[in-house]
Amino acid sequence: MRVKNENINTKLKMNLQTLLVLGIFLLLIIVTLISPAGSEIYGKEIFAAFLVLIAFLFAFEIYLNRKDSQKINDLFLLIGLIIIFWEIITRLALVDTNLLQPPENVFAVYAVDYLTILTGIFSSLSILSLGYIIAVAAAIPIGLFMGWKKRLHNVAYPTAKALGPIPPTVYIPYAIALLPSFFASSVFVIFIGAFWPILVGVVGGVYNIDHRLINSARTLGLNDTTIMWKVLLPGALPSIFQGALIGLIISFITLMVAEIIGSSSGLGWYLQSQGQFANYAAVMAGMIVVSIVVIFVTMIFDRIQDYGLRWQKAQN
Amino acid sequence: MTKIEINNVSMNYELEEYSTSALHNINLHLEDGEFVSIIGPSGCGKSTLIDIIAGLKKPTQGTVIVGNREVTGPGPDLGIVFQDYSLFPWMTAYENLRFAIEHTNENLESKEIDEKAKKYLDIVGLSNFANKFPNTLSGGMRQRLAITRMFATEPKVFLMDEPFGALDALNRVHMQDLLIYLWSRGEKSKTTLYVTHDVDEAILLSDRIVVMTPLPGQIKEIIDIKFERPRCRNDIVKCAEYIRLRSNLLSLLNEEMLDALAEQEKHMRDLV
Repeated sequence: MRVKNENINTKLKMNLQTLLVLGIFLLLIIVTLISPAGSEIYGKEIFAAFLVLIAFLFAFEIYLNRKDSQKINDLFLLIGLIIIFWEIITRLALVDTNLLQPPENVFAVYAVDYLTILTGIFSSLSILSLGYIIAVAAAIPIGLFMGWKKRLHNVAYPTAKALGPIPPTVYIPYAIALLPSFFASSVFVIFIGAFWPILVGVVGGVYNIDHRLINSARTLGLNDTTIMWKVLLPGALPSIFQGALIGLIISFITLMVAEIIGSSSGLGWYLQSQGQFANYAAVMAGMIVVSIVVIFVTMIFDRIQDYGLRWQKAQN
Repeated sequence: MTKIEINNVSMNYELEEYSTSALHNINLHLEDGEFVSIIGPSGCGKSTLIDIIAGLKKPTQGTVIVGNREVTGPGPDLGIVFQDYSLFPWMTAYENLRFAIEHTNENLESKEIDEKAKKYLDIVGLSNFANKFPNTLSGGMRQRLAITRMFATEPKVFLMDEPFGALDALNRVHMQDLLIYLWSRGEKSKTTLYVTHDVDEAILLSDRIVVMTPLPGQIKEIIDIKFERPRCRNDIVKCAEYIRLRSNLLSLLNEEMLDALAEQEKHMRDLV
């Protein structure tokens, strides 16, 4: 009986938290519409729309995960608290409001710059995905082969470890000098940034596959190509994903830096050029976009990883 | 006709400071369709011997002939089951079977492979677990699947390295029955070499038992088991012959163990 009561209690508590989070967003929306902190045109409308969107997303996620909603509740509570914090700081002018603009002013930037930002997202993502995909496509076969043939491994693994830590941005001047366009040289630099960590992941993965599994494959009389793609690749996959995540993060940072240095489009360039004009509302708007893009990209990565390693997860 | 002939096989491991002899001058001939068990204390080289016959290791000296072919590397004619690690963890039960059948029978069509994989899953009662990954299966089910995979690839000989070593007693009894069922199911039973450290298992399954001794690994004695097949577990354990065989085997193994212990003690005394 008591256990049942406790169950009801935790259920009620979680529902209370859900209501609290919804209440926070409702309050934020009302306050924004009635007395906005910023005065830019369209600012309060866009910010309010953004809040409504988050509230709907929250309700949707809660519905999807209604069996275990604790994580979602906590996550959105944190988002709500950060926005409240932001409001309080700017309303009370606790820091220079020119540097930290109120949310309404930041979101007003989207009404003006939406086209630049959208083309920036497109330009950044196309460079990132092209460079990253080429890096994955090159690192996997090379790494599988290197991890497998001991002689090659002994030479190549130290080389990869030595070249890996060189920051990819070092290659930018060379790439710009040697390659025809900024696009091509950015793709190259992203490729370099992602290639080494993925390669090290693949080689380490192959090297650590249990030898008995490879023996088991050999007893089936498999040829080398089949062993490489059907045994070594899946066996090394956990380690490959680790390397690929590091590669993804490095290539994202590299891309931002490369755009700051030498581009005339993209999210990094947008942040840089707005910063130069001391347009800090736009810088913050850009940072919000960057973090949303990062969340989106890592979400795709996690999906692929979950699928690729579903056999491992099954353990529990 | 598939015989296994092991001629003068020796295996030395060269370590940095000294070399050890894992196998010394092994001669063993298995007749077509014979079930032979190798029994011995750990470190007597029985797993090494299986690896050599499977073509996974190259002997320092001597040859292994299976059928008409001298073994130089692993191949689909040599079916093998290890204690664990025979299955690929990233493939489901069905995919594991299908993959093995596909790559050991190059001339089968896709549809035939599917049918065969399903048929074998059905025979061993794993149809309901076709889409499960090995990690989610119990140890007993995993080994059942590994053995099924070996039978499904239809090799000429079966090599098994303590396949039930990690299972509990009850599961082991089930698996022994299943093994004998699969082994004697076709028109003609296949030549089998089976490594174990379980005396009762060896007597129940084998036509002959090879007792090995360590340091260096060599054959000490070969014992014929003449119980008629099919054997009934409950009947043979009551036979006087069974009890005699069992105590004979145990004393052979014990002798070895006592010798090894005495040796070790002497070695330690020398050190002091």
